[in-house]
Amino acid sequence: MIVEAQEEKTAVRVRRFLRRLSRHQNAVLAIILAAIIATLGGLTHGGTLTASNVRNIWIQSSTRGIAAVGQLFVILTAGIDLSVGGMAMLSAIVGGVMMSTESAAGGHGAQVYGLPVAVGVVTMLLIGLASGTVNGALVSRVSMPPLIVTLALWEIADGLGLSICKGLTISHLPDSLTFFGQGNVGGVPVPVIIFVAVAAVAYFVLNYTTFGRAVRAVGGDPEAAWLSGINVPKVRFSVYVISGFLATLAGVVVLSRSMAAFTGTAEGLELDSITAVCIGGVSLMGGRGTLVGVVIGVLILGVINNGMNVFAIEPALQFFVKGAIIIIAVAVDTMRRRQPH
Amino acid sequence: MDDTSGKEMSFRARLHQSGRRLLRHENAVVGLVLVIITAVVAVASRGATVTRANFDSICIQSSTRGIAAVGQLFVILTAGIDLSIGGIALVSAVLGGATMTTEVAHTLTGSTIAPIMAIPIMLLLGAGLGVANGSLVARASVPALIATLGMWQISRGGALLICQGEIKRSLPETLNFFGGGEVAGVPVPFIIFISLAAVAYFVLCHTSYGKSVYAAGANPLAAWLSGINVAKIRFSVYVISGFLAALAGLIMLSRVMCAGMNTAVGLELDSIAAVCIGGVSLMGGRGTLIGAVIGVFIMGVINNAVTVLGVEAALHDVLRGVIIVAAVGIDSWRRRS
Repeated sequence: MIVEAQEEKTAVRVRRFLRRLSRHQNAVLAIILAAIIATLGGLTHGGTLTASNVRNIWIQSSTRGIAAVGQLFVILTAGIDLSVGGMAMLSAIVGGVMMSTESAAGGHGAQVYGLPVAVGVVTMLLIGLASGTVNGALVSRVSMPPLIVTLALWEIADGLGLSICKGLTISHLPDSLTFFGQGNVGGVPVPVIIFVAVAAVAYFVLNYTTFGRAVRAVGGDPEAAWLSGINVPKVRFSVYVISGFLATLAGVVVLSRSMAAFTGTAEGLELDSITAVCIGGVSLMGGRGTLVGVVIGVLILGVINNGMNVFAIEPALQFFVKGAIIIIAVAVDTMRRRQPH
Repeated sequence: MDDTSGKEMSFRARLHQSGRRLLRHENAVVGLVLVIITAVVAVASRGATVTRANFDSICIQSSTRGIAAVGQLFVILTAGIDLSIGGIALVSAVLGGATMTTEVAHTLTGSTIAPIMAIPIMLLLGAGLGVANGSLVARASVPALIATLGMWQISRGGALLICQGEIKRSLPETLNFFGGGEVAGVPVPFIIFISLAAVAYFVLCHTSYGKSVYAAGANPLAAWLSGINVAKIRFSVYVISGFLAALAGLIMLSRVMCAGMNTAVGLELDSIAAVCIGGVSLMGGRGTLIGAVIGVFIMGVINNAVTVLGVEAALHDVLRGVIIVAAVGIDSWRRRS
């Protein structure tokens, strides 16, 4: 009888531990990240833990992360932004066309303008702001479903991008452009600096400003937010502008790294950003989720991607894995939160 | 002076009244849009679009889109969405191509499988992927967006695995019947589409299942309280959609007699656009099959017009996006509270 009582006490203690664990979502995520890193490190006999590989992971994750921060803002309002990849690609192509000094295929490609890098980059970011404005206006003023709006804008961006570059790759970009994607400041790659800076600003905004609180409120309970005096349409509008801007910022980094732009640039960025956000424990119904979780999610995705590349897993299987990851991440999340019907 | 109550109204008054009642009919506006667009396009192309050949072309193009749209209609009526349609069509077309190709070196199984065996396998694959979608959405409560997005990725991965990036050609001639054949002068794909639409119309309007689909979308709680198994309805519509996606893939495969990673790109978007133009609400519970069919034809006419008028291929996508925004925007604007 004493043994049974002791067993029961253990069971109760385990359950209480698990419950407390789920309250510290980000800690769990960090542990998962560490576990994956350790596993991959072990399987490759330390190959994935080299300084250069870690640096690689960070750089790859930076583009994803910049877009994911934008996606976080949108998803916190119970929206979604599927146009991220398309806009990054379109801005890369437009920027490429503006900054390139030589047309592709000996003149058969798009007309190029050889403008200074500053002009090109600013134009790219303006494209992001513009697309975010369109998305935001349609979602908040016309009350269209974000899924359809951003899906349509993705299509439009795809078509415009293809039309502008005529299917060819734009290259011959000025060397000074490499700063954003390949430069180093104090030994730290610039993309990483940009990502960390964006994440830090986002963390501050989400947790220490009224706007940040309004974003969560609008996602959690729009009715209550409205009654509390929050301008719900304005908040909904602004998160898409933020996402559009960050998408094209990611586009700048991508363009600067590859020094070329074509219709496949930044492919899959929207899927990656949504996956990273979902892994990070953000609810698609809005209102719940942390920036730290998203950053960890970005890193988890980066490590997994890197692992798949190191093991030379064929592209088809990588598709599989990516699809499975996003489903599993969201399924785990919804099953946790599921209320009985 | 003119006492119209209870007495005979003037002819003009009666015309007004029936006109207003007609326009209030859900599909009248969409139907009118179709007629107007067709007329405008016919004029703009100086009659080039009113040839028999062009009409056939529109019908055939609309058939694949229409079959996918019928599946999407069922899903959207339950307030869901199926983004995996293109992927499912792709993977079943590629599977069909890889198993039926007569270039034995390239087949999946080392020998050619006859269409009569391969086709049911393709359709079964589509239904199977639909089962996966349905389970995720109905049992695991994964949001439809994510579930079908993930399945789209997985289907594409499967297709890439099967075809290894090659294009499968050299398919048996008998396969061409589905996509290129004609029965009494009517293209077979069109016959398949119309019969499917008729069956879907009957199911949606005259069976309890159909009514349950509407109920589950309009008000799931009320539907559940009325004894409708909402989870089962939600599950079944994805199976339908997956099966129809595979059917669309079959027709596409049979038309061009080859399959590669480019097959069925954008099919999900086309089906969503067609359904939305046809007046179906993305919140579920509202919309008719006839509206969806009209939407399919509107898209068909516009796509055809764009080709005939020589608009650049890349701008087709832009146009499609703009149309979706316009169609759904008008619908959302009308429903704003």
